[in-house]
Amino acid sequence: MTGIPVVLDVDTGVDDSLALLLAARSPALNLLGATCVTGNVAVDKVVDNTLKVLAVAGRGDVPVAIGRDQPLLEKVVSAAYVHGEDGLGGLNASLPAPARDPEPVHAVDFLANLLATASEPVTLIPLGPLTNIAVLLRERPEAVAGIHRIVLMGGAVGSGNASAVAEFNIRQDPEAAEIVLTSGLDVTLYTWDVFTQVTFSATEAAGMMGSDSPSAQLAGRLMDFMLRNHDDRTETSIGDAGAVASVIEPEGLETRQWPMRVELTGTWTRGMTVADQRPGAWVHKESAWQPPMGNLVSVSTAVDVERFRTLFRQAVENPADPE
Amino acid sequence: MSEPRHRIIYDTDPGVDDSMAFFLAHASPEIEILALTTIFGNGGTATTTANALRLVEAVGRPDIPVLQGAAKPLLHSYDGHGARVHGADGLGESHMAPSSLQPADGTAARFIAERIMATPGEITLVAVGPLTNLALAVSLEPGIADAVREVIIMGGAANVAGNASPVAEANIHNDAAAARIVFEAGWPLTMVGLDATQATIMSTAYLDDLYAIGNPATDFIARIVPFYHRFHTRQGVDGIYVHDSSAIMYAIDPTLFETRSAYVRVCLGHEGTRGQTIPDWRTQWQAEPAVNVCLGVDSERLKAMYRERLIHGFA
Repeated sequence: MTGIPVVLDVDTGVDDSLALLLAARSPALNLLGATCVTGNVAVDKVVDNTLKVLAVAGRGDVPVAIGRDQPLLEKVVSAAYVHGEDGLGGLNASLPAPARDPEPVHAVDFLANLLATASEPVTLIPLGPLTNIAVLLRERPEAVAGIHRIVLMGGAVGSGNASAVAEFNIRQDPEAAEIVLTSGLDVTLYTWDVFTQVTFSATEAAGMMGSDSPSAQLAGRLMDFMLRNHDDRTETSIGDAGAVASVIEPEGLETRQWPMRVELTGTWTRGMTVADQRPGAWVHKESAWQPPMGNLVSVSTAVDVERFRTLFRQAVENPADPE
Repeated sequence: MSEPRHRIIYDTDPGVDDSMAFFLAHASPEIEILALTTIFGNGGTATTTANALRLVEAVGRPDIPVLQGAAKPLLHSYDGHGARVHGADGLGESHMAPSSLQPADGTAARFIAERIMATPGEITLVAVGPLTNLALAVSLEPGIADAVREVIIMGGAANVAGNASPVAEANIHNDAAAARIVFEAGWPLTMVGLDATQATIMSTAYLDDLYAIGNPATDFIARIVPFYHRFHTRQGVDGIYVHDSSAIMYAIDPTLFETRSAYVRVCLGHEGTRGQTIPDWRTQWQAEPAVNVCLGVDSERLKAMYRERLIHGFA
């Protein structure tokens, strides 16, 4: 198997499913595994959804590991109102039973073992709350040697969704996000600012549903659910799949490097990803001004919509075996 | 003994008082030490691990595994202030030779999770440093909250001032987020905080009498305590507070302590409150779970027991 070695950490999730389909079908990626975390729905549902989606994509061989069932400090808040009670827009029951069981080890141990034995450093693509990754970094710090970079869906520089300023994944587990953003690793945030921009229309979704490719059919059905579940929308986003697309074609994502920390207190701002956009020369200008945040991450500022739309559609519609 | 004896995992950052508590545990028939798991606090994790190995070697128990724990708090960075209290080597600048032993394979958190799940209802955790390992363990295996027999921690300050800050005790201050996880995990948790540990002072005269016993444990203690004692003297204390040994004493005989149950909120950091432990005595927050908080102690009986154990345990 060739391609960029990746592991997806997911809370599947409708758009996580789109991300899994893209990662499983793209010849540019070598999908080594998926680890699951409570986020959009509870982790046991996430595991079942993930196994089933991978099987539809013809990658029932990909190992799936069960991770944390709640954030470090926060209480679980379900997003079933977005993703359906099953987390899959009601489609879970219609998919074939998975051919594979989840791994017998915890997601953190699975990741640590995989990273310790991988032949080249692995790109982690977390698409839910960052609980598993944070526990990995603190419990198995030697694992960082096996991480090439982290491309996560989370955060916002402009408006949030979970609150006025906080994006859902970060707001679900702000402490975990702070651990990841201050890890010193090469971290890129595919933020809420770009999350909603890569979209397909109802007509396009119907076209995918009529495809010969099971992956495209499932992608079309998931998009159809999102459009019917949000009757104010005429288009629906590929969401998390955009983060995967940005690993395949980094040129399609415009980023800026900023110091960025997670607001852990705040009355209205807990979970906000605070980007320090001050020019460097300003930071020490006045002794009373707040000092540098001490880290630097890459933050998405614009996305090449057509490029990622084409990439997604070609990958899921291609009937050929990705190998 | 009415209760079966405690089979403990001792999560520790030795540390002068951690060492004194270890000797107490080793000398007490109510306690069987299964393993030491290490954490930063009184020194960095590499230092405390080296010291934990010295302790099991000193009592002739190289079979007790030592598992190295987390190197960093969940959030913020380790401040290294423990060296002012415990010395750069964590053992009162006694400059002891390194142990010939090595830590066991694996991490502290994974060991704690697996050992508790292997024998549900049997294992007691006694944690006397920052609570990072316990937080990681319960994150990896939430089932340990039900499977552990009891969790006893040295940490926190309920109705008294803090020591690391005006409101925070050092262990909680060193990893407040981990403490929040541990205090809210829903396991049977006893907080042996400054309310109890600073109520007992081993005076200069008491310590001199202890050193005079002249067995291997008290000789070890005589080498490490003077630095720690001088820190207390500079704080205006005649003698030393009995922090970590109080947690072991709770495992040995909880009737030494006056306790009260309440939900305790661990504050995470706004406006200087990081690591504050606020007991909700009047249940105004209507929050769960309740924690068993030590508020007082029979100090004279505790000190007499400590001396008696150190005499007979190493005779």
